[in-house]
Amino acid sequence: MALDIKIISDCKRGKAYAQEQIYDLYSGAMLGICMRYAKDKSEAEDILQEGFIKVFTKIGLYDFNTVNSFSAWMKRIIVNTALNYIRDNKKHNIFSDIDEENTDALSYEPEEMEQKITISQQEILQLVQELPKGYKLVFNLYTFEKYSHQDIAIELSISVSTSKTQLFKARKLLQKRIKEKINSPKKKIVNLV
Amino acid sequence: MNVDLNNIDDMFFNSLENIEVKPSATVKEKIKKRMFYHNLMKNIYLQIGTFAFFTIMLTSFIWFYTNSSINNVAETIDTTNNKINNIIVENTNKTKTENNTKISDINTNNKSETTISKNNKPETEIITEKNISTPVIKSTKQDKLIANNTVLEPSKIEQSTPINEKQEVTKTNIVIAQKTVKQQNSNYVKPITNYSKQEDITNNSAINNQVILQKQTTKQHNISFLNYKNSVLLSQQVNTQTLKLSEVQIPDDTVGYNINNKPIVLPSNHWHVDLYFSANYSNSNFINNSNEFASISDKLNNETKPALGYNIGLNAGYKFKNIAINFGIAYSEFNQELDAKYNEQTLTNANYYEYTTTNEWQLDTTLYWNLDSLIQGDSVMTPIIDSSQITLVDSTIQTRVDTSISEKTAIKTNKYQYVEFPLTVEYVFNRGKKFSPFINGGLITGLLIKTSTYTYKSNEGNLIQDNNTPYIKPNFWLVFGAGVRYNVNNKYSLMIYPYYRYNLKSIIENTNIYGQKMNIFGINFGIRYTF
Repeated sequence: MALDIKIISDCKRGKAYAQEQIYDLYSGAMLGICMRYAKDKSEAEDILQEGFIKVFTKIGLYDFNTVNSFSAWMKRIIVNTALNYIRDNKKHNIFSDIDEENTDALSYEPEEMEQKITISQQEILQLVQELPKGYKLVFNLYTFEKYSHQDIAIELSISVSTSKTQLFKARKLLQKRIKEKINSPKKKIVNLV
Repeated sequence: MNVDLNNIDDMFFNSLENIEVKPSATVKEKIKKRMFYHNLMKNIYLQIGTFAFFTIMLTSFIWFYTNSSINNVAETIDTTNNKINNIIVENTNKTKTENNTKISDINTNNKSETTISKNNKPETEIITEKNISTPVIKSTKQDKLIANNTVLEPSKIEQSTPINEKQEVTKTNIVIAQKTVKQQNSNYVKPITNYSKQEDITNNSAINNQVILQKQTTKQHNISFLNYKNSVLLSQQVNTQTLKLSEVQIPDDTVGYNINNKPIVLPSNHWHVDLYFSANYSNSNFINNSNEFASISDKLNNETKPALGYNIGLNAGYKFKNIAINFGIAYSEFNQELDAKYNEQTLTNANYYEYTTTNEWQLDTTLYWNLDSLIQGDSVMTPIIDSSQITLVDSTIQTRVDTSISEKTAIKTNKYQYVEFPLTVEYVFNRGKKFSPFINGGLITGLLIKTSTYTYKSNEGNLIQDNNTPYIKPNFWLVFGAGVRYNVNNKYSLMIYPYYRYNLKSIIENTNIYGQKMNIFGINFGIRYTF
């Protein structure tokens, strides 16, 4: 995605047409990011809305000379907005809301699943969305934003070991849920076809 | 999608890295609406802030002015020169004592103490208690009659005021200087030139902080300086028909004593406003933002010429002795001209014929009789085919387009319109004189409100408006200069002030391939009103 510098400059001046162009260009990708952090599309759109407001009001801080591209800068804002959104809406500690069912995933044995299966992008997204919040945050930051555990620990105000544990549990839980999908009758039919 | 469960991170990353989901239309509308309110509130806050700023400034101004006027007693005093200039007593009339009021009675009584000059110059009559004739002022606040720093009760005055009928004393021609004059600073002698009223002192209930000239006889005048509590600071009797106050000796810092016998120190501060206009030339210095385009900025530096601009503004200032701090608002317009060279491509069309030649065989057939040798008398008609090669010439008309490139010159004009907020410090030399040189320096904050760039191509005569340059709205200049002020009178002074403004940052965003610093030389013409 390429964006004319003039558009960004005009957006810095608060021109509506530039804001609209930036939105049209990036809203799809940014909503994709929000979807990974949110539990559904409605929540993702709320995050997207907050994120774009921040982008448009803080765009004056964007420096053309920085190494990061505009899209990377914007992505960073959207991710931070998503993190804040989850923090602000948490009812209790998001890193201790894992139920017993989820912890059972630790007993999963991966060698049993050494097979090729077919699963859609939508289903994968759904799997991420259905993760408990704590798992989801760490998994997203580590896997997609390429944060180190140290960075995650700082960002989420948790310890490094907590970050590692959350990631481990997230992976296990995802594996378990994928297995469940594979073993479901509908999926078997699809695979047979 | 194939999934390898042993590498779940990669599986999710590859699957969702570039996922795009189309948001619903309402999101865009909500964002638009919120941005509208955001901008609206931003403007409102800005206006409230501006209003608050000016309200605070105005309130401060009024407060300072109100408070500073209390100690204006010494505004008529020049402690630098110990002179008061330019007051002339005019056309006093003689009157008989019996026409006088009680003040003259007190004058003859001659009981009061006086504060007199500390500096005695040879040409000035030295004031002693013997020749002092004391004016008496009726205080509206205290309802007492005060002679110098002696407070007299009205009853006592009436009882102890023998009238000398033979003494010529005037009560009707008392010249009261117009209001107080707190010009320049405490050490400055404020010329009082604009007195205009002649009033009977007894009828004047508001003569605080004023100079009173009272004619005693044909050649005698009594001069009194009053403070805000109506005590007399200095009284002096002068034997001249036409009196210049410059001949009056006055003390240095303490010009007198109030009714509580406390020394009164000369005031030192005052407010003023300046209205000014300046003509300016703005010289631009273009800077490389990228080495790749270094030649462009060099070219611009060579080809850009300053053009005449102007600014007009209003300053308010507060002066502490020789130093004044000024602030205000101004509108500025800076212009530049650029002889821009550009390459123009010229197309020339020419028509010509293109010839094509083709060789063809042309067949020629001729019939003739062929005798059959087998059967006598039999013959058949047989065609003989011959061929000859001919050349056909065809022509088609062609159009040839040729291009030529020639260098042209265009005149480009840039106009920059700023609202500016100067904050400067001024140091005045030779204060109190007719001509006061000064130096000035400070910071000017400018807010770009409009730029117009026009390109005029001489051969085409067209005017193109170009608004693509990403200019920065706020900018800053350091300003310094030196000028001289001509003090017309105690209220007004005229100023001429050449200055140089140094641009602290580029006026163009650094995303542009070149930056631009606009340094300005100008001459200010202004008028100052002092409160």
